Amino acid sequence: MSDHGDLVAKKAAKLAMMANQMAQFFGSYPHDQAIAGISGHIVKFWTPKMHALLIAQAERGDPALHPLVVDAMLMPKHVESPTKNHATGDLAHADAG
Amino acid sequence: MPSYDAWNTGEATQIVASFAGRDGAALPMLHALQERFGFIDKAIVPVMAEALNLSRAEIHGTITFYHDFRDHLPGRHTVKLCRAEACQSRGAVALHRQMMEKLGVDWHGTTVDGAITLQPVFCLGLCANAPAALVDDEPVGNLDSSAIDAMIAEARA
Amino acid sequence: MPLIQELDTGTPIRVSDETVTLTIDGNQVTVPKGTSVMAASVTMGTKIPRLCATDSLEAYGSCRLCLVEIEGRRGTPASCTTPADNGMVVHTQNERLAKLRKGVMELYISDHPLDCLTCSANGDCELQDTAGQVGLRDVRYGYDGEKHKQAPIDDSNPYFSFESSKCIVCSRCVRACEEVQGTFALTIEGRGFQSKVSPSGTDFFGSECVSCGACVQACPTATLNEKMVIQMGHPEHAVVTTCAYCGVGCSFKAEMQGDKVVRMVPSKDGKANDGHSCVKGRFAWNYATHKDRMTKPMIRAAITDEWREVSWDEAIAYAASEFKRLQAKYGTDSIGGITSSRCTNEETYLVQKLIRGAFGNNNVDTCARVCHSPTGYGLGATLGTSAGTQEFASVEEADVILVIGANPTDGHPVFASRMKKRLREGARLIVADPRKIDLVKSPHIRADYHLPLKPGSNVALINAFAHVIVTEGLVNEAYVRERCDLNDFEAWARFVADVRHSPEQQEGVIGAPAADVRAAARLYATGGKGAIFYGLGVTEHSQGSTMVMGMANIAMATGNIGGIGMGVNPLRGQNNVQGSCDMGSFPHEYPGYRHVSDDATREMYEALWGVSLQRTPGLRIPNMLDEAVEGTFKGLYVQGEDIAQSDPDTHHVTSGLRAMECVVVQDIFLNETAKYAHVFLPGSSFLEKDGTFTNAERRISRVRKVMAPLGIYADWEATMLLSNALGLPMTYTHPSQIMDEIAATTPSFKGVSYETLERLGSVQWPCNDDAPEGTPTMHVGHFVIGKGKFMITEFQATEERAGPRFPLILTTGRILSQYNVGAQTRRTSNSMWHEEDVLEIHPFDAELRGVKDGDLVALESRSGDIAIKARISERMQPGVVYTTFHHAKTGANVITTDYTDWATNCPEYKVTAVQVRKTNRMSDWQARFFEEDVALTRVAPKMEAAE
Repeated sequence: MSDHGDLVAKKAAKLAMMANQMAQFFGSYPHDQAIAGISGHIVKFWTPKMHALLIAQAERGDPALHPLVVDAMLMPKHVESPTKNHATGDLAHADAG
Repeated sequence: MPSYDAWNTGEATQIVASFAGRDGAALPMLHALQERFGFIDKAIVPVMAEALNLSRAEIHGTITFYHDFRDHLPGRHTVKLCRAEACQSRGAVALHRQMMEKLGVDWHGTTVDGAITLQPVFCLGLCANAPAALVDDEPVGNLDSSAIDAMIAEARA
Repeated sequence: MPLIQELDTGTPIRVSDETVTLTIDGNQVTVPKGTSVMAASVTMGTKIPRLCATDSLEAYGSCRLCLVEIEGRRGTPASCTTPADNGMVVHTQNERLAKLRKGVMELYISDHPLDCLTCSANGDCELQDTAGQVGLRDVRYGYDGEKHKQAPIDDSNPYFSFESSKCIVCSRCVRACEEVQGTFALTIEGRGFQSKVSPSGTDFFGSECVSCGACVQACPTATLNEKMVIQMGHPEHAVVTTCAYCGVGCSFKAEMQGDKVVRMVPSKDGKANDGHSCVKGRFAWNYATHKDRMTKPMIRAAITDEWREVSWDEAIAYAASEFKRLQAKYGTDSIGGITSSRCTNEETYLVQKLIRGAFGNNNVDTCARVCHSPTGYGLGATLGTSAGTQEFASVEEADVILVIGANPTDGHPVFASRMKKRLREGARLIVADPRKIDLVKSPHIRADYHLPLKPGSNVALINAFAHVIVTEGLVNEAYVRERCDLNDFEAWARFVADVRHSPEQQEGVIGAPAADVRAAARLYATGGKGAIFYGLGVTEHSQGSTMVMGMANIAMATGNIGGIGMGVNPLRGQNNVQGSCDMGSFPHEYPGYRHVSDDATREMYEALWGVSLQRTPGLRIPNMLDEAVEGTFKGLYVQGEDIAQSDPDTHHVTSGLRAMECVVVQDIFLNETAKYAHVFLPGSSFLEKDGTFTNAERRISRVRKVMAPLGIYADWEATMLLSNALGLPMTYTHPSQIMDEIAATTPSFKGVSYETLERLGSVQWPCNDDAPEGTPTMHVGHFVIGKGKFMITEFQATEERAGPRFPLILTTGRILSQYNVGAQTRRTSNSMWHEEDVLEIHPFDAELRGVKDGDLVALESRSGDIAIKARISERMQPGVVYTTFHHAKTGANVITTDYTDWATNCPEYKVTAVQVRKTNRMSDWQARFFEEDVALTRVAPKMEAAE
């Protein structure tokens, strides 16, 4: 149904907007820290469902996503997030997915 | 007889502004306003408060503290009678009562015909010439009944 | 307890390392240097008769009753204005003094009405007491001379009356308005016998008076008296409690007759308020017994049905069965809840426990989402704690005060009075605000710099400050080296040193003259102890968290954290929003800010509560609403919050609520959110329960019950009923047990208990073995995070920009008399000061549109439009308009957008692109509002009890 399709598209756009905002903040940091920051932030604050949707968007190559967001969802992280203080559980360092 | 300009808040504001930045500017502002307009209109209170960064209450308190600052135009002539001790010892009390009866006013009052405003003052430093008074800022001394009558007649002329 | 009479030493208590020892009436007494003879005498146990002296005010020396004789000195000096000195020998009582005092008293009484027995101050009048104390027996002047007994009564203020005939012109009221409140609204008019207290020649209501009540408190006679006391008579017992309005958290004595409050009097022992109050806490408390109070549970199947009053059992059973049904049908994550920032810590703890333990998910959030969540994020990232660093008293030692995006004289009035006192002593002030708020210029206060920045340019401003500090060599190198991560500092310093961040290059973006920005930055860095105070003008932006980090950055760079007189101070809005955050109201955190993925914490709660807990974050409020619209979120338990009025983008909020199948609202009034609810549970006000609130200083204070809950159950009891019905047992019999559980499970609260609070009055967390009496100043010696972390804060202009269609920027804020959604204050006489929300607009913008003061205008954004009255205001700048959100029918949030802070989803209330034009009709939303105000709030007529 087009209504449902609308909702899905709207959701994707919303998630992309929120993630891109994060990319703008963490973009001031070197690439490896930036993707750790974005990924860490999402793991820390988003529900698993929202996280999974964003990963799927990245895998689909959604053009609305900032490149750093795509990398954050798909690449492995090797360093801590710049806002590591907020990351207190092991999930903060887990790979996306 | 002093002549005053009609109250104009715009011009009054300019007078206020000309004193801003001076130390203790409130009293010079008030004197200047009364000199120009003969009295101080309530409308200037918020203007002064803004210029001096004080509250309206503080300005109001300052203005009302001094009997000399009027909130309405005085009569054509202002007579200030000295009520201090030296003048009292020379019969000022009875003299003042006489004058008030003749004019039909109390202290700070203005006669119905607008000729005379009567105000009390305390010590003009003319003690050797008591009882003394100021008539439109001119000092007069050695007042007695006939001097009072003459004063009134001249003021009403 | 009976009425609480605090000790009044007559003159302010002095603190000094030096002491002096003197002899009073043969007794040796040692006091701090600077103490007056009067106060020294009180500490010794002798109260010298006095009328114009009270210890909240500096000595005045006008009544001439407190005369004493001092050996070796001539005459009879006033003990209030005479400092105690070493070796002084004072006599407070002899024949000469007695005669002098009687003489003074005689003069007072010769011009005073003698209707003591029917006077409203009978039994509580210092004039009466002092006349008795000096032994006045007759008044030789007689009572026939000139008098003030016929002076008219000024009844214009709704809460207190001014009876000039009883005034003794002690000037305490005038001095209280100056020294304590800082408004200077009163003066002595005239002189000599004509002296009269006057609020600038008008009546009280028409004057500069802000109705804080300081004058009423200071008045020793019946001249300034609460109307409730006049009506009801004197209270007979008092209970100390904490105000339920703003984040200052003033301590009050609720003075009662039986279970009726007569008046709320600020408590001198209150560390937050120091014996002061504002119009809301002091006077606007009878909303608690307003006729609109809902006292019976109600349910309905559809929101268009009438509400049906039912028993608690039926309402709880219905709510529980609905929640269970929804989870069975749509999944565990399909329901959630919102805790209250106005309810107690104990109640909030129970709500998040219910959601985590009984709902089985982490879908719990709180109103801090929409106000200070960026504070938590920003300060957590840089310093390691998500709360303010100081106590309010710290402002008394600040040398430079920087106020950003806050309007404390309106939003935190009692704290603002403390700040203004310090400013009058000479502290410097920088105000960064698009509007010319009172702190910029008001009697005796003038900001050294007002930076009227454009809404949305905060981070550009703070980067410009940082640029000046770093490039002009104003960094406190020793402090940074010792206390901060040097790698992060160097990266940050390189970042801000770039010339693109300079005040000159950013002038166009910021909108404030570069020279002023430079000078202000220099002042902050070099003017001494620098304290930053900020509010929602910082946090409610798409870069809210970034700005908080930016402020922490410059505070660290200049060595302004970790001592008194400095710090980064968020002015938290609500009475318990700090507490609500502390209690784990966030979807990603347990109480004490521990992440839900933290195994140790989660396992502890699982063991304690006997359930298994979800280990991943839940939904925030905006996401709950999104998912409701998407059809996957179906049930909500809301305690003491009105998201339909307070949250942005009203259309989105109500769409979300409408899409849900079971909304349970627990509140004291039928609020906007309740229009979309299926179950209504009557809530309890702060007067009806025991508990604790935590204010902006992290100060935990007791809330004490003075009357039975009107709805039978206090909020914590209602939550327990629901929890038990859902299968998570809760058996607390008193809130102290809930606090004990909190203390046992949360390290920063370990030492907190009701016993501790009885003993200490209040306590600032962390309160544990390291700090058994609490922690006034944080990060002393080292940051909680370890080494302070500088964060890179690149400025990103918000997506929300003015353009041809919407050329103006709307910002929102609070005012003094109304509080937030106005649910409480609109139901009190405070509405006399603010009957409706208006749109403040600069004369230039108004003229361009042909709008005159008082015209109805349409305010439109891409979210919606409303009609509102315009007010021309010089404190706005061209291009910026402002309104408040205190009245539901205005619909200010119909205009605000869904843009939020990148880190916390805190809504960008402060920047909405709008257009303003004249109109002559309500907007469609407003028309629908009035319809729904009737249609969705109908309550079925009561039926006779069936059994």
